[in-house]
This record gives sequence, structure tokens and C-alpha cells, in this order.
Amino acid sequence: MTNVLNSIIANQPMNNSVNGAAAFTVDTKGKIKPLEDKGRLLPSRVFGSPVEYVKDLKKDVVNIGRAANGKANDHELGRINDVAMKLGSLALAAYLFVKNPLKLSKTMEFVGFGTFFGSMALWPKIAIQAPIKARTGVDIHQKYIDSQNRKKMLFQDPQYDLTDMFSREDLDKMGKKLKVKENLPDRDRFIKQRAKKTAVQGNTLWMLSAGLASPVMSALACNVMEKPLNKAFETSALKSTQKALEKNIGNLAKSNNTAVLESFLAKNANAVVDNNVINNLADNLLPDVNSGEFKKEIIKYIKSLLNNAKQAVTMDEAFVSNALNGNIAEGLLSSLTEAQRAALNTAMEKGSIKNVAQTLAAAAGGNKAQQMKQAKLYMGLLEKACAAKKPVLGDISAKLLDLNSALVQFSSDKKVLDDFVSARVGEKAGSYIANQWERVTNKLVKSLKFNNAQLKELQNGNIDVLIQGIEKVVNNENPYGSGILNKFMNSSKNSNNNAIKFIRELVEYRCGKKYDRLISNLIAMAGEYEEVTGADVISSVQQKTKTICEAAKNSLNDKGISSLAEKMMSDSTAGTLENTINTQIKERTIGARASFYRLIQLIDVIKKEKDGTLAKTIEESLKNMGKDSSQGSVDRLVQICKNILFEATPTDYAEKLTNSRYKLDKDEFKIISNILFGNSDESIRAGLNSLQGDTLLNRVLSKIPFIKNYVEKYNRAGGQGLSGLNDYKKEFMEKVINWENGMTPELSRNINGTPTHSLNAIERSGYVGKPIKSMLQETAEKVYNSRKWLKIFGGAMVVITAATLIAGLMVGRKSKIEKQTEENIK
Amino acid sequence: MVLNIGVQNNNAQISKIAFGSNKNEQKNAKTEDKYINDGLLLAEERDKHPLGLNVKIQANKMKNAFTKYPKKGITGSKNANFYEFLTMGMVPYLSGSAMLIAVFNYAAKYFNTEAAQKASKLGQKMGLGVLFYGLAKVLSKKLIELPVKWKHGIDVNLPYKKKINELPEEDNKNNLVSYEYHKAYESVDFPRWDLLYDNKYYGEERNAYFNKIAKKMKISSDNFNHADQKVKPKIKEKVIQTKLFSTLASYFWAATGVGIAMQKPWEEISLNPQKIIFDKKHYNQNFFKNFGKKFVESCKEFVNNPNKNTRIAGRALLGAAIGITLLGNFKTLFDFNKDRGTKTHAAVSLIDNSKEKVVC
Repeated sequence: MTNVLNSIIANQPMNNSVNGAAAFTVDTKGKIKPLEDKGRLLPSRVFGSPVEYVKDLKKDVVNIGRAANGKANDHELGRINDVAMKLGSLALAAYLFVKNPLKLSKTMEFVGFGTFFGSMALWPKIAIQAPIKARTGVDIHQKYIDSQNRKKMLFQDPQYDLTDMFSREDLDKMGKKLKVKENLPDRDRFIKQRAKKTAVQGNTLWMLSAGLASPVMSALACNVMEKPLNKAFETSALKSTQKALEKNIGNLAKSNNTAVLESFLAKNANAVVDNNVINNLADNLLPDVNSGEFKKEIIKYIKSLLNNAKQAVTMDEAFVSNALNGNIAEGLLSSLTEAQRAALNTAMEKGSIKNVAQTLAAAAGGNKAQQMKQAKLYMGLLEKACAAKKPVLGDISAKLLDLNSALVQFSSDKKVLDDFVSARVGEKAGSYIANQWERVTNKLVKSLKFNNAQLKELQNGNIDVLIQGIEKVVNNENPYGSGILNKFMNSSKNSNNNAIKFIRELVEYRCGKKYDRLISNLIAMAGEYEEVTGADVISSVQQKTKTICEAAKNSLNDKGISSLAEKMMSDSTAGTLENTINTQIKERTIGARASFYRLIQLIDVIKKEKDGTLAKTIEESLKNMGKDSSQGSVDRLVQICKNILFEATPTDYAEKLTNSRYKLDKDEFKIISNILFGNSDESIRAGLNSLQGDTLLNRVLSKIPFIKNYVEKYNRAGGQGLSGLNDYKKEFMEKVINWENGMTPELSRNINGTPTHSLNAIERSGYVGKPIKSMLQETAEKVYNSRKWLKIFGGAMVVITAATLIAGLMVGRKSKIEKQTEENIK
Repeated sequence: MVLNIGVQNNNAQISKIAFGSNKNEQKNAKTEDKYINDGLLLAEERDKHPLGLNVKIQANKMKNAFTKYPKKGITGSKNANFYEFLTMGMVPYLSGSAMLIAVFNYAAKYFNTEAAQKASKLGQKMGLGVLFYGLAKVLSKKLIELPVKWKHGIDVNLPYKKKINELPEEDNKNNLVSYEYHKAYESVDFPRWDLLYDNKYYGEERNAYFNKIAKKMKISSDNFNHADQKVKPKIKEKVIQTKLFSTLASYFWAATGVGIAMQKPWEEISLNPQKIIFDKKHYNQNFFKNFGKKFVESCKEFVNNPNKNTRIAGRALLGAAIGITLLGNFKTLFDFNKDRGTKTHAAVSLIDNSKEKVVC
């Protein structure tokens, strides 16, 4: 600047005025002028537009390039900090995305990144900027474009006053909201001052609250996002694996490891094959299936290959003379007697090192001790030579590649099948079964409205808390409401009509609304589970398993590997790979299904205990069997019924509940199993069937829609809902209660001599399901912990938000002196 | 803010600014005052006690960020300024870090043992992540700033103390002075050249500082009439580059820090402060040794993770941090603009006579 001024001054004609100062009176007209004012306010918005965002980003990228060459201004450098922070955080999110094994937690890293920056941006907008603007008319984050076309915050530096940029309209609006006295001389000055004050206060509030609010807000947002994301991943996995199963079986050879195997075999062609190598080979050739039996078979096959290769080492005279070179007398081999020659030939033919050595030692002569010594030496040398000629990997590589090519298709098909199964019943977070189970247990805990103290008790396995919770739901003083249902139940008490009797039975079975809602929710969820993983799905998986095993079997047979082909699948299914796969899938499926029903049963039992039907049934059964039906023994069995469902393990059932925990005798066991697993609502089903087309029933059904729904649900085919429960009970009776009935044929199935007793036990424990006790402990813990977290941090968020909003109400108010000043001015 | 207008002379008293007790400071305060109105360069202290000065400045800023500035800000003081707003930025940084650690750790104390252990494993990593983020971010900047200082003599963090004479306010009519700590190169648009001219700490000559830089930058005095004209644009350029690359790199180092904090070895050591401080028998004795060991193990796992993809990602992240740092070193340490002007070019080129001049 000085240079410019100097040059202008220097070019001025000298003024002859006497006054020295006048020498500096410079005519600047047309030479010096202020910068043209190009700044303008941006429309005041709480949320910026995405277009602007992209534009800014583009500018920032250009700026980084310029700054790298040393050209940038403060404004640009300031913005680069934001960009760098986002870049660094993105890089971190990407790293954690890769590091996390689960799809959901992977995604959550980016969600976390988004919510964190989102909260940082959103918090000041919603908790500070917007409320203050609504109340005072001042947008504390008002932006403007300066003359150099840079976007900046108007109130960033309170000492750099830019309030001149406000229009008349803006000022009037603010003045009105800020309650600046009308008709003040120089009113604008007051308004601008107050606007600035408001901005300073608002920005300070932002700095004070952001650190506390942003992390909590971000964490809460992540919490909210997690559930729908999990559901979305679940749905997409179910769909995509279904599609893959329909399309890719037999068409895809993704897991083609031939190239790897080839290069391994080529590299190690001269390696001696010991047990370690065999084991490794078996692992690599094995399709991705958890079957020790099949692996054993592969090892057997590799060993047989080696044995065959071994025979290729032929022992002849040249081999022997080479092996013993320098240790036998020269010409010994050619000077053998006829008998010795014959003995040697036989020994060589047999491949017996011992015989060859002995024959030659005898031929060499000497006393017995010398001969023995000599024989030992020869044996050692011959063995060494043979060992050097032991089959190496190269000898069997062609066969191994053959085996591999026969199994490649199977492996890739198996992978598709595994994905399908795993998405449904996989023992992993995010599989359908895991999610559905979590939904069910959460539903239960929520419906029973446990408080935190009760959840703590449940974590310790206290059954009473659960019973109290269920009883609360079951207890319904006015179960039929006050409407038409109540009227019907009251007026039909003594009716003899079959239809009416049946409907009464149905209504009574339902008990009350709350209970019904809980049970039907659980049943519906179990029904959904049956739909996704039920019999249809399992049979389709079994069909696919059969197809791929069959193909692999044919392929193995084509390559002449029949021993493995037999193990792949055969008519006697036990012990084959196909059977192993099917059993594994089945075990997984029945376990979860049983746990659902066990829960429903327990709730049902508690309800029946409450309304007395359980005690009544037990008493009747005891009487029928001629046993002690006193109150005490009935009560004991009632308690045991609950305990069984709550905590019985498969072992308890295997011991017929005779162990110290239950101490049931044979008859009591029968009574209890009939109550718990007998087909309890058979009568309802029979009643429904006999009443098809009954006019009275139809009239009632048309009048009371929920009964109609109920009947419809009942009638629904395909193993859903209640009928699913009944099927389950039937199977339970068959497989768990009367399991020894099934033992004889089961026992006859042998896998390498091992009785299938153990297989049966796994299946049995599947039917028993997860004890409600441990299920509740886990769920109670999870719910308690997340509730506790939410209480602490949700509470913190509420407090922080409330404090900020209240503080926001103080912002922009007139101080006493300001008030006085305004009033004093006339 | 009213600046006392006076002769700019900030060198005479530099040696008198005591670095030490409050008493001395108070004694010197008055004499000092009239000199530091427009800024007192703390070059000598910076050279002699870099760490002490830094601690002093940060402590002062922190104290004000949590006490004086919020009070001024929340009452809407007419003396509130941008410096105070920026300094208050420490508040969300610290409270946010604490909150982030709390979000992952605090609730665990209500959980039962097993769940608490599981939660604390993650919480501990998150806490460490916050710590390493901060440390890596601060320390990594030095990787670019220090070489620039050694090679060119440009200290981008060169601090100066500034006195602010405030306007009287309703509740404050007497205590109208406040001090701020700025950096001479805080603004690249308006570096505080005035504090560097005629600064006796650098030498008797008016241009002593710029001569020194010119010498460091190996610009022969044959190439300029006055060192400042030649050197100032170069300093600006280097300051911009240093700021850019140290900022960029620092966030990647910070991310790497978090990455290291997320490794498995940290699960094997308890960082519960209560245990570390009070359970001397188990923790105190070997804590730092153990911590160091786990740090080394975690770094190794970060670069050599058994999982192939994680390993690649870890190396890529570290590579990005190192890469940006090296690029920054390369760009800042070497001068690619050697021919910027002849002896007189610097002076002449500032004005383009063919264009209309505008003065604001």
C-alpha cells in the first residue's frame, strides 16, 4: 500500500501553499477508491443444501492442491482442517471396517463415523441455533460471502463487525423479536449490538455443550440404527442365499483350489510323505464339512495310494549290489551257490529285506555270530536304500489331483448350501435364528414388564420373578371385557349346545387379553420361525444335499475312487457325508424351535396353575392311577412341572427325572409328561372338526371377529402356529420321553462299530431346547445392561439438552443496564 | 478492544521477563505492560525453555477456556473475541473425549462381572483410542514442524504475548486488561512481521531475523538488497505448506493411533485407574513396563495382523500417515521456487503498473 501511495504522491504537482501540511493534500479523485462491496448474506438456513456441500468439497480439494505449493490464505487453511479431520476419520472407519469380522459391526464403523460427524454438525443446529433463531430472530451461524467469494460465518469474530450487511427487513425482524424499544433514535445500533451479544452467547453455549452432547448423541443414534440395519442384513442374507441356492448349485466352482494344489505338488514333488503331510493333504482336499469320518476315509485313501506307489520300488540284483556296494566281498553275488541264488531270488521277489540280508550273510560265510552281525549291517543298508526310494509326493500327485477334481464341484456347491443354512440357522450373530431368538426373548421380557431390580434377580436365575411376571399377565379379573364376549360367556354357562360349548372352551383357553397377546405374539414368532427354517426348508436343503452328494459320488466313481464314493452317500444312510450334513442341520434347527415352544409351554403351565386347571388335572391323574392325591403331592407335582420347563436338561430327561432334583417315580413321570407333552388341545381340534358348517357357530364367528381369527389361525395348514406346537409335543414324546422305544433300531446303525446312541442323545438334547433359566439369565442381563446404559446416557442427553435449551432461553435478553439505557433515551 | 498506540519496540525488555515465580511476574508486569501492547515475541523463552513455555501457555489457555472466557461469552461481553472463541474449542475437545470414554466405560460398573469384563475390554480400547488419538495428533505435527525449524529456521509456532485493553463493562470497570498468547505465523495472510523486524534477540540489525532465515535457507546475500523482501514470501510459502501437511498427516497419525489402541494385546492388561493407583502390589510396580510391552505388541499386531485383509488395511493406514509426512517433509524442506525474483524483482514485482490500483 505504502508503495502505491508513495508513487501517487510523488506524481502530484507540488502545492505552493504556505501550510506545510497541505503538501500532503493529495488529489486522489479517480485514483484511489474503496474496494467494491461484493459481500452478501447467504439465506439463513438451519440445514445446508447437499449441492452447496459438494461445491464446498470441490473447492477444498482444489485448495489442498494449492496449499501444497505454498499458496493459500487463512480461510482456505482453516477449511482444510475440517477436510483433513474427515479424511482421517474415514480412513480409520475403513480400517475398522476391514478389521471387524461381522457385517453388522463392519457397517457400524461407518455408521459411527456418520453419526459422530452428524451429531457434531447437528447438535448446535437443533439445540442452539434453531431455538435461538426462533426466539430472537438472530441466526447465530448466519453465513455470508465476502468480496473474495469466500463463505464465512458472520458472527465468527465479534470484534469484526459485519452487522452492516443486514437489510432493513432483517433488522426490523430482529428488533421486534429482541424487543428493542420502537422509535429509539439510532435503534439499529441497539439491534445490532444485541444481535452480536446473542451470537457471542450462543456460540459460547455451543462450545460448552457440544463436547458433552455429541458423543452421547452419536452413540444413541448408533443404537437406534443398529436394529433396522441388522434386520436389513438378515433379510438380504435370507434372500441372496435363497437365490444362490436355486441358481448356483452345480454351476459354480468358486472354491477351485486346483491351481494351489498343483503348484504345491509341483514344488514338493520330491518330499517324502509322512503322517503330517497326509494330514495336511486330507485337510486341504476335504470339502468344507465337519466330518471326522470322511477325513479318516480320505487319509485311508491317500495311504492306499502310497502303498501302491511303494510297490513300484522293485528289489533286484542291481538294487541290492548298489545298496551294499563296498560292504560285501566283490563277486559274492556272482559266486552264489544254486541254493543260495534261489533263496535270494525268492527273498527279492517277496521284497523281504530281512531274508535278502540273511541269505547274503550266510553266503559270505563265517560263524553264526559273524553272520548275524553281517546280516544286521546289510539290513540297515538295504533299509536305507529302500527309504531313499520311499514313495514321494510326485508319485501320487496325479491321483491326488484326480481326487481333488472329483471333489471341487462338491466343495463349491457345499459352500452355497452352507451359506444358505448359515443365514438361517447359523450359530453366529446376525443369522436369522440368532436374531429371531433375541426378538422372542426381548418380547417376553418387555411384555412381562420387568423392572431393573427384577432383571437383576433374573440374572441370578430366580424363577419366582418370572412366575410373578407371568402371573401378572395371566391374572385378569375381567378376562372377557364388558362387551359382547362377556354377555355371551355369562348367558351361555348352562348351554348344552355343542357349538356353544366349543366356543366357550376356546374363549376360556384364551383366558385374557394380555396373556393372549403375549402367547399369540410368541406363537406367531415361532410360526414365522417355522416358515423360515421349518420342515419345508429343511427338506429342500436335504434334497439339495442329496443332489450334490450324488453328483460327487458319481464323480468319485468315475475316477475309480469307490471307497470314498460309498462314504459320500449310500443306501444305508448312517455314517455317510450326506447323513452327517443333514444331521448337523437338523440338530441346529430343532434346538431353536424347541426353545421357542418350551417358553410358550412354561407360560401356559403358569397360567394353568393360576386358574387351577393344572392342579385339577394332576389330581385326577393321580386318582386314576390310584396314587396319593393329597394337596401336598399335587402341589409338589405342580411345582415340578414348572421347574422342569424352567431348568431341566437333557440329562434330567435321560434319567426320567428321577434324580435328586425331581425325584419322580415312574407313574409321576408319566403323568407329568402327559400333561406337558400330551396333545392338550386335541379336544378343541376335534370340536372344531365336528362343528364344520354349524350355523350357530358361524353366527358367533361372524359376531365375534377375534374368535373367527382364532379359528382361522387354528385351521391354518402347514405346521404353523399352534399346530406347530402340537407337532413339537408329539415329537418330544417320541424322541425324549419315550426315547428308549426308538433305541433298538437306532442302535443297529453303526458307524465303524460305534453305536449311534450318542447321535440320538444330541438329537434328544435338541428337542429339550435351551433351559428357560439360562435363556432368561442371558436375556435379563442383556436387557438390564442396555437399559442401564440407556438410562444413564439417555438421561444424560435429556439433561444436557434441557440445560442447553434453558440456557438458550437466557440468550439475547436485555441486561438491566441495557434496559435502563433504552428507557432513558427519549 | 482499544490498542494503545505507541512506538513498536518490544525487544528491550525481553530479557527481563522472568520465567518463574508469580511475584517476579507481578513486579515486572507494569514495566512489561507498555511494551507488549501490540505483542511481545517470546522468542528467547521459546529457544531456552521450549517445553516450559509451552506448558505455561497451554495451562494459561486451558484455565481461561474453562473459567474466564465462558463467563465472558455467556454474558455476551462486548469484549469477547475470536481468540477466546477458538481457545474455548479446548472445552469440547476435552469434555468430548471424557464423554466418549464414559459412553463406553461408565455403565459397565453396573454390569455383572462377566459382562463388565467384556464391556471393559472394549471400553478400555476406546479409552486408549481417545488418548492415542490426541497424542498422535499433537506429536505427529512435530514430525513436519521440527525439520522445518531445523532446516529453514522457521518456527511456525513462534509465540507472542498480546495485551488487550478492554472496554469497560457493566460489571467490570477496573480489570480491563487481558493477555492472549498468539503465534507470529498464526495468520498466513498477515504474519506478524512487525514483531520480527528490529528484534534485538535476533541481532542488532533491523533485518536480523530475516538475514538469519536467508542464511539458513542458503540464499546468498548477492541475491537481495534486503533479506526481508526476498525471504518473506518464502517463509509464507513454507508456513502454508507446513500447516497443510502437518494438519493432514496429524489426522492420519491419529487414526493410526486409534487403530493401535484397537489391537488385542490391550485386552491382557487392566487400565483401570483405580487399580493402577491403589493396587500397588499388582499394577504400580510394573505398570509402565507392561504398558510399554503391550504397546509394542499392539504396534506389531497392527502391522502384522494374522488376518490378511486387516494386515493390508493396517499397513495402508500407517503407510498413508508416513507417506503424507514424508511428502510434507519433502515439500517443506526443499525449495522448488529458487528463482523467485532477481535482486530487485521482489520489490518491483509487487506492483503491476499496468493495472489500476485499489486501496482499501
